[in-house]
Order: sequence, then structure tokens, then C-alpha cells
Amino acid sequence: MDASQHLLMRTKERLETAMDAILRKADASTVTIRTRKFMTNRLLQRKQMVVDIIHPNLANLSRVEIREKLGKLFKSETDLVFPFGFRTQFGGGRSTGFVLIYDSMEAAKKFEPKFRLARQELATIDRKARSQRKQTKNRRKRLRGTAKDKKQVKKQK
Amino acid sequence: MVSNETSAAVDKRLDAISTQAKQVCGIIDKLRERVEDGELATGNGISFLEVKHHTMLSYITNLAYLTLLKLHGRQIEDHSVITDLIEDRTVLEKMRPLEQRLKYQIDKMLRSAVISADGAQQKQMQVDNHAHRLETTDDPEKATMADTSAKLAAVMLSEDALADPSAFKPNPGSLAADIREEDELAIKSGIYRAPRQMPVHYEEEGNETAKREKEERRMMERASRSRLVRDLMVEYDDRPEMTTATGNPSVGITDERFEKLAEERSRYEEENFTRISLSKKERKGLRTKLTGLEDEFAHLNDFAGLAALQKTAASSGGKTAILDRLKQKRDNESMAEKVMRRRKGGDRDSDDEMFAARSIHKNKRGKFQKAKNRINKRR
Repeated sequence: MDASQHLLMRTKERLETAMDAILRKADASTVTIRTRKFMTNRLLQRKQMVVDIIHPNLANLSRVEIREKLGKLFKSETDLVFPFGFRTQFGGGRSTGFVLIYDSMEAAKKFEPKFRLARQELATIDRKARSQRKQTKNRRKRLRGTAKDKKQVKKQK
Repeated sequence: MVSNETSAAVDKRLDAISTQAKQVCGIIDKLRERVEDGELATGNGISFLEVKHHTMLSYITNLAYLTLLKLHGRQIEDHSVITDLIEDRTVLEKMRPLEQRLKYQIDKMLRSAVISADGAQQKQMQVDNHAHRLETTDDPEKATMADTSAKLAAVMLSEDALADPSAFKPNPGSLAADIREEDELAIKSGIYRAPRQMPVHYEEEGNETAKREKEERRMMERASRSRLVRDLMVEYDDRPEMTTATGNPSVGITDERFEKLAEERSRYEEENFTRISLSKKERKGLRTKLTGLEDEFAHLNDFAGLAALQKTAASSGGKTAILDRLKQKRDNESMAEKVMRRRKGGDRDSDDEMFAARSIHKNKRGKFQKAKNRINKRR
């Protein structure tokens, strides 16, 4: 019968969503963010803090999500939030890391290390292959002074 | 203004002035001749002194002009001479401290000029004579020694030391290493002799008691970490036992150390906003500690502790020595440590050694054991 089948399906759906909510797919509102050791670093024009994220039944948050949440919390652009060093506690459910929030983009570009800017697409590190870099370095070791700057023409072997 | 002197005195003074002026004129003429002849060349002198001479000269001239004006009864108010005089006077006064600072240099130069003019050659001859006289000794050792000292003595005695400007100049020769006479000889003779200045760590051989005690302590510490002693502690301790949710009695003493280390590490990380990277060994150790929920059957054959405990218990001074040492530790602990100990829990022994010692003691409580002890002691 249609009505009973319908009812069955509806209850099944409701049960499923309830189970999901309980077990794994907890929604984002159950994530708690706590900040510790907050400090406004005027010298480097930023705010720095240790962040504890409690995310029961979830994998730990990605850096993008952390940036969004903290941007909302501290009312700054997500571009200026730089999280790093997040480690999840043994057993899951809790991760700790560090976050820096800069006052302006110039300050961020000045003080933040290149690799962290590159993570957020604010700077690029164009590099040659690692073996190439090492070979140039070893070639340079044989030269002295300004000859290192000159572009050497490779010898024909 | 009426002077108190009689006119005769005034006349006498005026006569003196005129004769002296004539004499000065004569001297100046001679000096002028010498300068014109080129005898006294002042081109390479100290320009500072030249400035001084010229300013003094202009000062004197202006002063003379001023007196002339006064004698003729002219007005000297707002005359340009006075400004010139003041200028010269200021210059001279400003030059005085500079001259003070240059005094040493100027005196030295003068002395050297004077000496080089007369007696440099004489002095050199004297020094050579002295050296020559002493070199004829037979003993080569004495000769080398005497040579240097003689030279120095000659230099100092031949002339007044102050007169010789190079007597106090720095002596770069004394920067060389301070070698004693015997060592110098040894070096020259070609045979290598070890220098006698090397300090060596003094190792007191045969301090038996200290060695024994150290050995004992080390074994006690190791024993207290073994499975056997941990089980004993768990058995005899009155504290509630700390276990995991699964019920394995796995948490022991060793965790304290690792907990402390981990706490220290996390404190450092949070203070310095960095993450410490661990070496492979450390990571492996961490892993075993984290998953170190040993089951009850692990390490049952770990009897390393037993041997150590028995040894220290059997040795005549062992137990009492340990207890004494622990008592000493308690006596020597500071106020802060005492507070911590009391706060951590009343009367219980948080000391591994102490507990181990007590457990040894408890093990040998029975009558049979007491008898056995007595026999052992007597033996």
C-alpha cells in the first residue's frame, strides 16, 4: 500500500538522519574553537594565539575551514589568517595548533615566511627541480667571487 | 692715581727697561740673521707651535701699541686694538689645554732630537762593549742568559732612562711565549721533552665506597622500574590504583617520566609557537608508550630487578645505607619540595627507592625469613 510504504520510507529516512547525526556526520556547529595564550604582537603587526579545536566524531578541520572560522571570530579577512602546526591528539576529537592574524596584507607579506604565503596562494615559489638546484650549487662551489653570478655556458662534452 | 714709590725708584725702573730693551733688540737681530741665513728651518716643525708663536707675537705687538697710545694720552675707548688683543688672548687660552695634551709628544721629540744630535753613537758603542765583555764566558747557557740582560742593563745604565725616549717603548719581543730557561735549552738540544704545564684530571683510584654506592643506586633505580617491583608496589600500596578503561594494570612509574617530558615539550611548543620535530627513535618510543597498554602477561620474566634487589638487600650495609640515604634526602629537601611532597599525598612514599626498600623489608617479615636473616648475618 502506498500510504504505509510512504510512511515506512519516511520513518526510515528520519531514522537514517538521526543515526547520521548521532554517529559520524555531525554538523559543523558541534565544533568548538578555543583560543589560548592570545597576544597582540604590535612589533609584527599581528595577533598570535594557540587554538584548541574540539571536533568530536569528526576528522580534524582543514586549514581553510579554520581560516574561515577564525576570520569570523576575530572579524578579519580570511586571507589574513595563517594557521599552522595543527596536531590531533591521540584518540581523535581534539587538535591543537597556532594561528596568526595579521593587521594588513603588507604586514603579512613582509613578516610571514614564503612557504606559508604559498600555501594560501599569496606568493609563489618557482623552483627548478631539486636535482638541478643541487647541481648548480655544486658547480658554484668550484668558482670564486663574482664568477658565481655570471651565467656559465655549459661545456660541450 | 698717586703711586707710593719715590721718583728715584721710578727712574731706576725706567733705566732697567731701556737697557733690557736694547739687549732684546740685539738678540732679535741675531736671531733674524740666523733665520735669514736658513739655519733655523721651521717649515717642518709642529704647525701648532707656529700658530702659538704668531699669536703671541701679534699679542705683544698690540700690547705695545696700546701702551704707546696710553703714553701719548690718546683715547683707547672702542679702539680696534682692544678687540685684536681680546682675540689673541682667547686664542692663546684655547691653545693651552691642547698644548697640555701634546706636551708628552713634544717633549719626546725634543729629547730625541737632542740625543740624536749628540750621543747616539756613543751609546751604541757602550752597549757593544758590555755585550762583548760577557760573551767570553765558557758556559754557553750563562752567556745567552747574560747577553739579553746585559744589553738591557747597558741601555738603562748608559744614559738616564728618561733621556732615552726609546726606553719605554713597547717591546713586541715579550709577546713571544714565556719559555723557561730549561725548556728553551731542551728545545734547542733537539730532544723532545714534554711540557710540564699540562693540567690533568685527578682521578682518585680505589674509592671503593663511592663506586659501590653509585652502583647500588643505579641498580636500585633500574630495579624500581622493572615489572616485578611495580607489581609489588601495586600490591602493597594503599593508594587507589590508576588503570585504564580497559582494565589493564599498565600505568606504572615510567609514565611519570614520559608525561613530564611530554608536558615540557608541549609547554615549549606553545611558548615558542613552533613544533618540535622528533627523531625516529623518539617517535618510536612515543608510539610504544602511547600504545603501551601492556597486558598482564608481558614482562613476567623480567627478573632483572630481583637480582638487584636481592643483592642490595643481602649486602650488609645495603638496606640501611639506602634508608639512610633516603632519610638524608628527606632532611635536605627544601621547603618547596616538602610542600610538594605533602601536597601530593600525606605520608605515602612517592620515592621509588624508598618503596623498593620498604618492599624488601616487607618481604622478609615472616618468622622463617627472620631466622634466615639472622643466620645470614652471622655468616
